[in-house]
Amino acid sequence: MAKVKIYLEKGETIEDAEMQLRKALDLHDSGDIHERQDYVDPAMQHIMDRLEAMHEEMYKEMMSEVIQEIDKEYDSGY
Amino acid sequence: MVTSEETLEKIRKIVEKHYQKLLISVGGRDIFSEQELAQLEAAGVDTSKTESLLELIYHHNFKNAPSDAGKPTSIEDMKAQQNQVGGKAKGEAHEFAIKHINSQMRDLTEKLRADATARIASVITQNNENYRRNALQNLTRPEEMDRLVKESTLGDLKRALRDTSGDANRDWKRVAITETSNTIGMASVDRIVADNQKADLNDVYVYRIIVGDEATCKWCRRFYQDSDGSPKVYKLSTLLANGSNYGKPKDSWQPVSGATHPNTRTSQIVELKPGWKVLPGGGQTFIGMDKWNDYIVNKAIS
Repeated sequence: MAKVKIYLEKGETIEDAEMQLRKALDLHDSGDIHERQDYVDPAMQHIMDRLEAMHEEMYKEMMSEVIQEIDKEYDSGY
Repeated sequence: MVTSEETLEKIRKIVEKHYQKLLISVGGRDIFSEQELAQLEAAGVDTSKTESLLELIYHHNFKNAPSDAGKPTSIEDMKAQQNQVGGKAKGEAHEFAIKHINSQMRDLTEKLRADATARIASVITQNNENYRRNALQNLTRPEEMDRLVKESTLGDLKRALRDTSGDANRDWKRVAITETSNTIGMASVDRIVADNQKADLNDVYVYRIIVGDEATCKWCRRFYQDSDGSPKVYKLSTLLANGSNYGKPKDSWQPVSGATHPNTRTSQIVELKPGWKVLPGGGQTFIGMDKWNDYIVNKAIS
């Protein structure tokens, strides 16, 4: 069976270490570790960057309009 | 202050309009039917955009194998390549593939729109409740004080609404990465199938190159990397038969041609022709047909 040796930093408890280890294992287990990667193909990474930027811009514009509607209601004295 | 149901309904329409605009930006106007386009135009949405990033991804990965020299490295390069004669694959099979990709993206974006709407409605409802309870406890509050409380509540509401962008951007990124990866897988498999028109797909061998560093998850490592560091080799028929991992619990995940799991930034499926051996890193070396049969048997192909 595999064994793991844990070296504790000064002031660190075994419970702290256990929590960090579990977080690391969960990250690898979920697949979300891939969030740190770029696409190997730079063209695909360019597409991803564009898709992310599109949504951020859309959401900001959308929120501005939403807040405008709320302001309209407030200004009307509701 | 309390946001009325009437304003909330206007907000729902604003969210719907913006997500539809996003879909047109990503998939082009063909992502909607003519009837839907007419409704969108009537609502003031610009539906003139024809270019589809999803279609760009498909044709790029159909036309260009990972080892091809001089392949496009940017969106502009991809457009330039695909605008040339023969730059895009033609035919019903490809049109159907793109329709499927568009339809998938549309369904997932619809879910995101519904989530965003629910999140915003929840923030507004919570704000309404907070103000209402506060008002109940301060029925005799002077008008000026009431005005100040309303302004403060309005400020809190705006902040809370803007804070929803974090979750929304993260959810979109997950969908965008996963669907891009699915399209990469589909297009590369389509190329391999087109290159092996008379072959039995049981006799077509493929693999996927993974980066294999500490940012690679255990699933990708287990499914696509062999014990000697070289990619695992599969029969194409096996990967296709495994279908998709979408909606499956983790313990049912299998090696697939598309996205193995959400957030995966996958590479293409690559063909290993008879007589060739795949090396760690995904390169290939020629070993000849005599050694090929032993190699394939020893590789424990599934």
